Amino acid sequence: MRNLILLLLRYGGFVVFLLLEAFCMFLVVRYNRTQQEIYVNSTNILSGALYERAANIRQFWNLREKADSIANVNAQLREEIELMKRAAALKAEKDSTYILPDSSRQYRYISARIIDNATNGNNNTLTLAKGSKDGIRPRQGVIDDRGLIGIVRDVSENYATVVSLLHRQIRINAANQRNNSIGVIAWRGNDPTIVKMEDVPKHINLIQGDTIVTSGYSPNRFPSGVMIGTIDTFWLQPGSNYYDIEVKLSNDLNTARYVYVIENSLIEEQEELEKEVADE
Amino acid sequence: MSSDIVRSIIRFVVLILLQILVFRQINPSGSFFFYVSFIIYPLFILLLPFRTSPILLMLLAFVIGIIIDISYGSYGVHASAAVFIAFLRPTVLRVLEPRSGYNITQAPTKTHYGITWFISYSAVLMFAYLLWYFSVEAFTFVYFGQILLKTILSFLFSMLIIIVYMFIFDPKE
Repeated sequence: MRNLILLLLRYGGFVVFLLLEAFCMFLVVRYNRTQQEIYVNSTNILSGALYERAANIRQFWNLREKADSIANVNAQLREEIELMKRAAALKAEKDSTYILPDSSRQYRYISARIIDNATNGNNNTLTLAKGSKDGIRPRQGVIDDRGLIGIVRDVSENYATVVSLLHRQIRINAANQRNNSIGVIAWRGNDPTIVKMEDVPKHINLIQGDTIVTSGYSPNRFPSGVMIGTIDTFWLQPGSNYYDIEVKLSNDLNTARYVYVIENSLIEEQEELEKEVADE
Repeated sequence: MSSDIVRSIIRFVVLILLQILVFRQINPSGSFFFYVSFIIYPLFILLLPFRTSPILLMLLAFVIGIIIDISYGSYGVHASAAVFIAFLRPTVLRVLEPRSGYNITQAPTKTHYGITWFISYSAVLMFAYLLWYFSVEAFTFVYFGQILLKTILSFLFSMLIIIVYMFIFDPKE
């Protein structure tokens, strides 16, 4: 305290000088237009660089939010494409003006972020950061931009678990895009980039590189034509009536970050009808 | 109230009136006079007694500067220059101290220390005043040439009037 007083006695004049000048400068900038403009412009130049940096950092933190919103837009666009396709198909059939009813919007896409993923086990699952609140139900199909991901298993309010395509119990109806021959996709373990296609009878003509897509048949979790992969190798076991086909996935489940969950609004109707047939 | 305080108060009023009513009104047209301002009121700060404390010096300078600012409509510009030379005054006095020293009961006038001493003393502080004043008025050193020209021309005219003032009134204290 004594030192402080000594300091003030010694430099008190300078402190008062600084205070008075600071007050004068405040008056100058506050009440003189020319000086005010110069002051504002100079501080803008100085702070401009600072603001830009801060904005860059903020943008970085906002990236996830932005990606979320872009994913949502993508989901909407997918629906629109689906709708257009159906409209085009109907128009081709009827060759007349056709107004599409709302009920024709069979597939809806819900974008979701993957928050947990594994590809190294025998029975892999994923977790999505969306749940029943967002319209996700068990047994819905999950895809991303590059191809198939899996099928929803359990749903809580905010989360959903997905049985990955790389799961030993998964079965997905698939078709060869070139000749519409159908089969079933399953995974046998080991290589996360290769799946098997089964139940393709030996009279079907196959070519290496044939594109395999979803067939859209029951259980109808996927619309037809979703890319799965291309035929890598195929062979016939002696005495077997069915091909052994290895399909190279178009998708890489290891690097997937955003997915679309497919909601089929007509699935209940279809399943009910098919159950009646089965019951007979 | 001692006589030097009374004198200072009278000088305070007289210099403000002279500055506002006379020298502010001298505003001849022409590009030359764009660079000339007649500033004499800092004489009040120059002529305060030696024993005035540095802090009181700056406070008084601020007060007279603000009063001039109000009439000039340039809030803070004159005041900051006045505070600046009030801050410099003790240092300048120390540098210019004659061999015999100062009599601290007196004021720094030409009567006591001669016209040469007074001109050098007032010249240093008036130049500092005008340079600071025109710098703050421009508020940027982009036009430093213009600031310097204004300072030098205004300095010559203001010093002339200050010397005339000293001969007319010839303040003792």
